[in-house]
Amino acid sequence: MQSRLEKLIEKEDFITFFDYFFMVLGAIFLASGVMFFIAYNWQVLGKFFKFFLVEAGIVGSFLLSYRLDEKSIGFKSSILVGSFLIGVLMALFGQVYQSGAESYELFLYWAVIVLPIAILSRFSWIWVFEVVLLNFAFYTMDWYYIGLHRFEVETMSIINGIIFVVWSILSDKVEFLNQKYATRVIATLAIFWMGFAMQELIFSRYSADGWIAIFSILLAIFTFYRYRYKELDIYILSILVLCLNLIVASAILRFSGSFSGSIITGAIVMIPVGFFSIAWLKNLGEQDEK
Amino acid sequence: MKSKITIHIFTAILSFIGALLMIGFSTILLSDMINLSHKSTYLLLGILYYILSIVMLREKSRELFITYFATIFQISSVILLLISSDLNILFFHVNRYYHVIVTLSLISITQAIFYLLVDSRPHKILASFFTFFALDGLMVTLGLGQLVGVLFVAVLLFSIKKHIEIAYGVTIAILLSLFFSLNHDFYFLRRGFRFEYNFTYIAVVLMSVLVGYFIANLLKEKNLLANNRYTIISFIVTVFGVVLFYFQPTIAITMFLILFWFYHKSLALMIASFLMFLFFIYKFYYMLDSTLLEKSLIMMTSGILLFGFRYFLKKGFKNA
Repeated sequence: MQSRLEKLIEKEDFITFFDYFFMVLGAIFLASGVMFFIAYNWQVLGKFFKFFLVEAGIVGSFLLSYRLDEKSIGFKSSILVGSFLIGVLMALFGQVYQSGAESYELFLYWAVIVLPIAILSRFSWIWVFEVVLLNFAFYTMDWYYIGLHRFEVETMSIINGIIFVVWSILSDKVEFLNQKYATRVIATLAIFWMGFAMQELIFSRYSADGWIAIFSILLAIFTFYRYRYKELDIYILSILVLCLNLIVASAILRFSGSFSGSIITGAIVMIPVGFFSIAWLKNLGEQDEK
Repeated sequence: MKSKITIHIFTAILSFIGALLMIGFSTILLSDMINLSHKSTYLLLGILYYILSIVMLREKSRELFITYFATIFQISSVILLLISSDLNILFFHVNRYYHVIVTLSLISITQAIFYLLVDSRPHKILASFFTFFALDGLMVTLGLGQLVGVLFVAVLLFSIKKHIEIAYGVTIAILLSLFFSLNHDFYFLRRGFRFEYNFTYIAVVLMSVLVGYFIANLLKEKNLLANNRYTIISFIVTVFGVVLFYFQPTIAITMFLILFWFYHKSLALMIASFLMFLFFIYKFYYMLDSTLLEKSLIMMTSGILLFGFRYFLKKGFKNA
């Protein structure tokens, strides 16, 4: 499926492009200018004015989205801006009244408040935003306090992996989740954390947590099966293969003994593996083109 | 088309990893076999890999196997040339410029020759990127940093017809160079297109004229204006360009690149330029050479002017 931009490029529709170009860039300039101006005057603004500013932004965004068509860019942008400003309001509240909250609480409550908006709006990118907030919440959580500090990366990997699997399965049934680029962002997060957890397992001194390897293998098999056979996605397969290459390279470097031995073994194994990965993906790419 | 770009990026990353392993592998083997110093080994291998990659790519029937190894050798030769010449002293003894100048000139010249000798598109793009990235560092080291922008924009505009690979390479070099120059304090990259020294005004005017020329030509070629006032448009764009290039050169260049790559139909470079545009706006907030109030006024004025352009172009366009 072609995006709007791809269609514009293909049709060489300069008039529409210039319209978007000046509108989007002009809006970014203007919004940044206003933000710089507020930042410049931040100290002298009263607290009620600060609250008014952010709350007006939230109300304005949601009122605008209420009036716009569900499929328009305006609706989607205003929903995203409104959801973002909710977090700004919470951070402002914490700053003005010194609530003493932990940073993970901000992201977690932010995610909870945005959840009904995500359910009602039926828009994939707001769900991506929700997942990113959850990532921040869990990443900044005080794992040591909970007693799980050794499993921080592993837990992130499992959370993101499960979200990705659920997203992929649901996208068959729920139309608005079946959005290529949003799925790719979720897949990138899951595969990134999977690779990170495996690096921890390979290089960590006390790692006896082999279960994360089993989880990673299952996730890799699911991703491969789903995006190779059910719905071909070269991007997701590429990052999966890249991640697997890096895991193998790290394992060789870690377990080959001496430095020179690991480099020599690494080169002998990884260069051919890299070649076969490229050849396989290129072959898939050609099938995709056809 | 899109899967091709993904595969090219994937190939480049894996080739880079392969190049690092290849360098380690061959250096260990060679320094064990013949009793050479590390620097001589690096240089010898760099030359060997350079020649090998050219020989491989000049074969008419190229298998994937050959192109993969040629990419590894091409990247390896550049890295080996860099480490053989002690370029790392740059970060510790900034007075020894001649090392930097010789190395960067060598990389730039050898990769330019590479570009001329081979006819594989991805390798030409890679060679062009290395040539211009090294040239950028070289010009900044020589104190001509302000003219890099002018040179790059001129190369972009005049190379495009027959050598689109150069345009790809130059664009990637511009974006990476600006990204690094804003994030690190490495001496030879410590500037964006900031025009702080001698040629500031000349560079700003030249770049704006080039951009004005490009936009007027584009409108003329596509026959977009109802009233044919291309000279006035070119003049207005040049004047706006002078202001924008003076106050926010990094932002201005990315805006130009978005437009340029829409015209030349590369979605990937358009998106890359747009992401860099957002990144440079974020970085602009932290620049210490002007107050937040001044920066806010510059941004708001630019925004209002862009909306103004949109309004007037909508009126002036045919079929709008």
